Amino acid sequence: MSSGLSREQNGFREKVRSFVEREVSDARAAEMDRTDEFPHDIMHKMAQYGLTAVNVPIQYGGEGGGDLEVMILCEELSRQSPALSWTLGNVILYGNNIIGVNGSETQRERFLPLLAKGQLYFSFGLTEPNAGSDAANIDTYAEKQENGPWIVNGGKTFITGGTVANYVVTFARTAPSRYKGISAFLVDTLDKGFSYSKIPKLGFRGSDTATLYFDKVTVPEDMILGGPEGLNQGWGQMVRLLNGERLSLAACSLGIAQAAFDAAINHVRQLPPPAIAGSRQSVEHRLAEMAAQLEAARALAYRTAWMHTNKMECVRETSMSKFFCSETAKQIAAGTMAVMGPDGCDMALAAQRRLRDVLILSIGGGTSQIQKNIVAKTLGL
Amino acid sequence: MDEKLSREHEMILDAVRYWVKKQCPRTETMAWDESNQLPPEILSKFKELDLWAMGVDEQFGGTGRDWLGITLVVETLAEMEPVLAGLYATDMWGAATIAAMGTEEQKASFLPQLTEGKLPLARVKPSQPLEETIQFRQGQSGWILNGACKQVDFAQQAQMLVVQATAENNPDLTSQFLLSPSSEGVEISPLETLGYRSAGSCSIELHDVYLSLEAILGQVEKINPMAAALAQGAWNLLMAAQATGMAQGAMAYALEHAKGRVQFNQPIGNFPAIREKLTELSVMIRASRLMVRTAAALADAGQKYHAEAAQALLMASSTAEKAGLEGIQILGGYGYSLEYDAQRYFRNAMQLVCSGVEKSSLYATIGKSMGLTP
Ligand SMILES: Cc1cc2nc3c(=O)[nH]c(=O)nc-3n(C[C@H](O)[C@H](O)[C@H](O)COP(=O)(O)OP(=O)(O)OC[C@H]3O[C@@H](n4cnc5c(N)ncnc54)[C@H](O)[C@@H]3O)c2cc1C
Repeated sequence: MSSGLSREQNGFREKVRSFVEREVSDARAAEMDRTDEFPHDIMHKMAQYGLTAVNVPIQYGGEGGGDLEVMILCEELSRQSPALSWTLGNVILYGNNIIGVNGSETQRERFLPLLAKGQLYFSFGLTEPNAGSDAANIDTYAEKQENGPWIVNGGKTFITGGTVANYVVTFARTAPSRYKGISAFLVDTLDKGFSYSKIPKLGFRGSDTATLYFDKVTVPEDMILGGPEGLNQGWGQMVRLLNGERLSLAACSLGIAQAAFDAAINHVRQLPPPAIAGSRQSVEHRLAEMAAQLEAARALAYRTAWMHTNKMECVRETSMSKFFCSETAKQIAAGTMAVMGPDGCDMALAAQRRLRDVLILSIGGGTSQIQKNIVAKTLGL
Repeated sequence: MDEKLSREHEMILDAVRYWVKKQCPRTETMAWDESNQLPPEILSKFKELDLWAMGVDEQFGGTGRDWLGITLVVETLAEMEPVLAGLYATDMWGAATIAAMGTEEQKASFLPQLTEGKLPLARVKPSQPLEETIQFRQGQSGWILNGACKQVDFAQQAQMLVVQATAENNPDLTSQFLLSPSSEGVEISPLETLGYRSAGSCSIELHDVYLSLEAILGQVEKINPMAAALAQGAWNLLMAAQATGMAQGAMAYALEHAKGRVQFNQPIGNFPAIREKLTELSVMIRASRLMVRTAAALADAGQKYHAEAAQALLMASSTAEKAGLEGIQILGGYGYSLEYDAQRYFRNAMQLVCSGVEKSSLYATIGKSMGLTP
């Protein structure tokens, strides 16, 4: 399963797995789903355990890992509670990654040590009512005051962690050019003019999703991502993060698929032996197919991660991994429910939650259709 | 085939459509789902349509069983409120089952009540994926039932349970039993489900439930060897109608969104990927609908229809599942939000697939009609 991973990386997987076993019981995962409340307690424990520091460079107080470690983390958390991989994402993806990759030196020094300790949450604010798949179509805009700060106006929707974030990396129009007129502002959510409302949703409950409102929010110039030089660089900064984010979402799909598959196997194993030999063939073959699908999805995602880590061009493979893993996981989660019959739809059991959870993974971070458009483009079509 | 409905059927369809539009606006159906309850007023208003009579022969006060009419009603209700469709379908199934297998006394005592919608039923059938069993044996003065069934829809409001049980000493002998949910030894506990949330679903356990000899549906001396197949054939037909309606509802909802939602300067429905999802669904829905009507017409003509009903359910249930899943994908982030209705279609469809469809038994039924022994 872990072929191609280093000893340290396999060790890290074991470490995460034991954390989950110890700290995230089935009951706790179910409770989070039921109450849809952000798991501050588990976040605190993850920080103590060093998980928030995994991809922060050592000189800023981190563990020095990269996107592969983030993938391992997302996969392992998602086996038990996918929402945790997103709540942690408010530190490691939207904080550590965004600031680590695109921040100015001042920003890195200011934020990374706190992020590593799990003391700050960041959100990624791109999507708007009119800008979903067409992400460059944003209307939120920022205007510069005479010799002073910027004023941000507009709204965002479906923003992960928008209710808990200390900072929202807010993409806003700063010039007319479709791609080269977008800047990313680090908006302090305590600032006047910022507000939010939570969106109730089908799955990934516990990871808050929110609509955000920016009513003349003042942002100092040095809070443009990358510093003042980051002006109008927002789109490029975002594109730099895409491979990593998509791979981590693929890893979430793998974790969910693995858990669903394990549940299907357990369900069939605990049935009494079949009265007539061979009479369970159709279920057994369905499980055999799932096993093959899962193996193929994992191989694709980790091979792509290997390319990514070795700085090879892998936009195509990343998009392939993103849609293939999520669509495959969807089939496995739905197939497991069918195998389990009424147990599959029992709200007291996890099978139904896995399908609810997995459905966002073919939508968020670029839908399966958008990923296929990208793959087609890289194929020269 | 829609075009070829008789005038009477057109009228029934129009009446139900009009009623649904007026009494089941989307905001209300979403609220019922959220509160896990179908308001009693809605049920009584629905009964005013007098549709129960379609499931019962004239001699017992009905208008003569009309499978085509019944499946039209079920399908239309399921487009907006599958729980109501399921409730009506369960009573229609019970009426048909009692009419097909019951003794004259049983018919005379239950069918007139069913005609008026005054005897709410729940079907208790052990689940195949869970390999559940309910067994019966004959005691000195009656029957003794033991077993369990994880999911029984409408159990909370049912006045009579129709329980499918297998003889303790003969796994090939299956029969239906009629019993009150308050019988001693019947344990009912509420079950929280993903879909059909307002259906009052429960788990039921039967611990040495003693029943009189007359509680068996049909002759005591001569247990009908076709009892299970007869009951299942009608059930499959009704489930197929529900699945078809649900798929239609989910597809129409996504279609409306796809026409209005603009990305990249055009309605997303213009993108071939989305257009093809919707058109493929429309094809599958049409096929499902025609298959339901074919099976219903055969049943109405008194011909064999079980294989056709099983085919219809196989088609319609995978269509409903696909429509539920694709509906969410077509709405994108909005599909994931509980403020939109795609998620309700998805949950209801998965519920139907998991608890109402036993694929291996459908394959067995169809295979048998093709000369393949299960
Ligand atoms: C739970 C959740 C968390 C999220 N978190 C964040 C976050 O933290 N930050 C953030 O910025 N955003 C976030 N999003 C938003 C997410 O990225 C968008 O929902 C996603 O990009 C899709 O946009 P949309 O919802 O507007 O769907 P639309 O763009 O309206 O898409 C609807 C359908 O049309 C299809 N479609 C669109 N364009 C094309 C095309 N050209 N060709 C073929 N098909 C097409 C899509 O594939 C989809 O099936 C989140 C969303 C959810 C639901």
